Amino acid sequence: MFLDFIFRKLQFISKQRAATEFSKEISVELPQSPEEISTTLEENLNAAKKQFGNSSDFKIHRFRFGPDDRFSGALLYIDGLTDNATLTDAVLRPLSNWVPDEKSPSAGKPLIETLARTALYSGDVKTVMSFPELLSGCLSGDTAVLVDGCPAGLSVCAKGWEKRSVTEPQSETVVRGPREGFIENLRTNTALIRRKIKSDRLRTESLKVGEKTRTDICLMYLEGVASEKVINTVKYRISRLNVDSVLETGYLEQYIEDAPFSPFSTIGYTEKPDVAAAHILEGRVAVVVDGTPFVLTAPMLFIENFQTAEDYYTRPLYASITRILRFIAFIITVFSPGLYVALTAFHQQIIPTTLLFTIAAAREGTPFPVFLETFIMVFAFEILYEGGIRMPRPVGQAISIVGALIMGNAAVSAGLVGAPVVITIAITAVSGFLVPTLNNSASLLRIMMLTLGALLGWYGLSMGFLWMLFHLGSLNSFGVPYFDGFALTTNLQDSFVRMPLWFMARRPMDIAHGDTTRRKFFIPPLRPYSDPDKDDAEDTDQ
Amino acid sequence: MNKPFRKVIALLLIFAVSITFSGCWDEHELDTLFIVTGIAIDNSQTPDQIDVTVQIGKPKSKSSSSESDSSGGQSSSVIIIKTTEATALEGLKTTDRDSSRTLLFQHNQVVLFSSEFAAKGVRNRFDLFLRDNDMRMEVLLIVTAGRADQFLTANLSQEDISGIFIARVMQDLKAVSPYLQIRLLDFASRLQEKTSSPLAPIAVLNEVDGKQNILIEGTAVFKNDRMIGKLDVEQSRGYLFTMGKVKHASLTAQSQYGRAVFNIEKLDTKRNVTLRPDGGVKVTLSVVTSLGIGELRGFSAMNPKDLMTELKSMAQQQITNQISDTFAAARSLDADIYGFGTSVYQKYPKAWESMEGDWDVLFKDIQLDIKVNVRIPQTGKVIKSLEMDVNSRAN
Repeated sequence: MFLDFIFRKLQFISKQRAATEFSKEISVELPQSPEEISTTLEENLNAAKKQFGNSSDFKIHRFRFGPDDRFSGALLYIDGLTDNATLTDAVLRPLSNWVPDEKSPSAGKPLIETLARTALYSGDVKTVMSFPELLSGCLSGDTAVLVDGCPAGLSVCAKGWEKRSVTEPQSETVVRGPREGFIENLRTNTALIRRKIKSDRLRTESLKVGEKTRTDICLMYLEGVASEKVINTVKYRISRLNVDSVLETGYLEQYIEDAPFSPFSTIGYTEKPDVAAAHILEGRVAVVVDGTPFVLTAPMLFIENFQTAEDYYTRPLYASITRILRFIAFIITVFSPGLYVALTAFHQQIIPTTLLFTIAAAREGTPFPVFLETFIMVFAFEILYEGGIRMPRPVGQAISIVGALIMGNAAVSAGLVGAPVVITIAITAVSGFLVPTLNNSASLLRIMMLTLGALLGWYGLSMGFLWMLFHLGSLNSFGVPYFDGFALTTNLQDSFVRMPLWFMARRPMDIAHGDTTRRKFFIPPLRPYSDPDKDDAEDTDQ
Repeated sequence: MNKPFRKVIALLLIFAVSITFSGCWDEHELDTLFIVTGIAIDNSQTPDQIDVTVQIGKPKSKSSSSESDSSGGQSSSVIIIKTTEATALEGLKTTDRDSSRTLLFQHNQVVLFSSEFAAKGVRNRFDLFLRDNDMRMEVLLIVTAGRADQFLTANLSQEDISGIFIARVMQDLKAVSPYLQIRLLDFASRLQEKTSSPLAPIAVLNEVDGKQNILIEGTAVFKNDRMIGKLDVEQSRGYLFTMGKVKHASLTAQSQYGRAVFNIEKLDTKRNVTLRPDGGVKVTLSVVTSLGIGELRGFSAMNPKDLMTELKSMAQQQITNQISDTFAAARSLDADIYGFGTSVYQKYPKAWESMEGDWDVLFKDIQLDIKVNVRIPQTGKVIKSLEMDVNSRAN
């Protein structure tokens, strides 16, 4: 009856909404720019002013040049996006010194082309015929040169703006390995990758996304190694976007990912050029977006969450052990609160007797049921975690003191929560930091498993685990199975254990296509003898 | 409300009901449970009834124990609940009703039968322990000398909870031989074998200077389901030698030259059952053991080679004697404690059909051949003892 009422109410509301029909989208008449560049300078400048409105950073600089200041022209640029020194040296000074000979044309498109060829000291000059293109060039930092009497303009590259220098990345730190990280500038980022892979096969393809932001995007991949299918899929998905803005790779990721409702992300990201380069070398496509130090890599495998750059820089035995440790940590961080609740509320029989007495002693006198107790602690941890991230650094200290003292100690001694719960949550929290890229997924899964463990005990946990496996097995990332690297098919060289580099003679089969050979020989490196010829001779003797 | 909605709601309800009802029914918060650590069963004053005593371990939180210490009051770490009912289950149910919390039996450490109760037959009191879901088959079974409930109330100096104390002692004994540790399951499966006699260790409570202590001394021998007698400590050891799989035990042998204590590093026994032409059964036990010398007394004026030969024959003799002593005791009790009958059945299933009926007679008539092979690879840290050294120098 109650549900019936709710449904009738919902139907009533939707009918009401349909009847009133929200007001149509408000459209404001915006000035339309002319398609073509006009021959008269004044007309062009007026059109540009109209287009930009009263934007104070849009500058128009008029000048005269040629013998007897015969020609008049104008520079159009956005203040702050151009380097004034370059502008003076490459455009203004050469123009004012330019002396036409008798062959040079005096007007029209030929004049502007001659100027571009002979007068300007700039490597990147384009002759542009359409007015919108000229203005959009201005918006991305180019300087437009217009000359009276010419139905064309020049787009001169004199970009220069404030940017952060290349620093150590905040999110992925290493003990051994390169310390440089991407920055917010697209060109710097592509250059950082290019400096790692000095191959002419490394392709960069530029795209622009976002009606308003017109964000520059660069796809980087190795021709002949990356799969055509993946490249085309990435390009297709990006080209089909119809959005007004892309401010970070996260925007792009959410628009082009395969499984938007999965707790697991199906596109990787990194802040380190060496990681991006390694991914490109394995046949992945990197998507560099202007304005963010994070680079997307696709396709992504589940195993990537457990790989770090350092795995490949340290020797294989230790790398394998730490990787197994990360797997265990992930299992712990997802399952341990649920397991604790399931064991203490349902399966007291499988706790060793001595431990049971210890836990029972801690439970004695705590006011809440064990599920609530654990949930409160998980919740409190999430609060602390979030607080630690968002707080300004000087205030962050307070968070840790409050967290450690009040939650850890006072709550136990006041008898609000038992010490075993605190230990469980502490282990959960610390384990979560071993797989930072999975932290978001782990938080969601942890609460899910906690609920299942509290409702159904061990049975619920096993169901949850199975669901997780099924779900991971069902995911795809750009046509590559997400769980690849666990199945006994391919790519096992780099999954639970990291095989020695000499062993990984081929690139991952499911990702790389075409040129899959990393190393010609599937043998360990030669023994360190001083004279290789003598070595060979000895070998042939035997 | 239209039909698809109805369906969705029905599905949701089914899902919710199946999840919540299937899961939570056996949920028990830890603070609503009493952890049972021992159950004792005694004969009652009233005939046809039994005394069921349940020992509940009290979880001690550290802060509360320090408080009680400071106040000087010595609070007991166990709760004892006693009931008298016709069956064990009724007794436990009454206990459950009388106690403030639900009893958790899965962590029960021991089931104690008093020897008087065991003598009256345990089969019809046993059903609960095998049938109930909460009862573990791995629970230790102990027969007590004297009333069983006093073992649960015992105030021990070594452990707070006597149930856990007995379990730990038995855990130690298991290292010596797996046959020493009798679990409910072992006992029950021995009961199933019609000709074999179940065994159970006997616990004795003694008191020295006001401190109580529980000792495991000897083995109770059951015939069918009644306790009919017991093996003393030496005989129990002889039983272990017969069964084999002994480790880390000690063996003392005496001869005219002196006294030797050996550490048994390993002792294995192979059993070979054959039918004699006259219809009787012959059992050949081949014991293979490797010993270490633990301590020697005497043996003066012996050179090491003779000494080793002497020690070997002493050990051999001792093991043989102990095995045959135990066999004599079993024969006098008329109880096949070794499961020889089962061995015959496994080897000669056809012949066994006719033998099963008069196994009692056949068992008494068993010819036992004992072959002992002793190796002494270990002499400890010294080769000669000091005593031997002095004498050899004098010579």
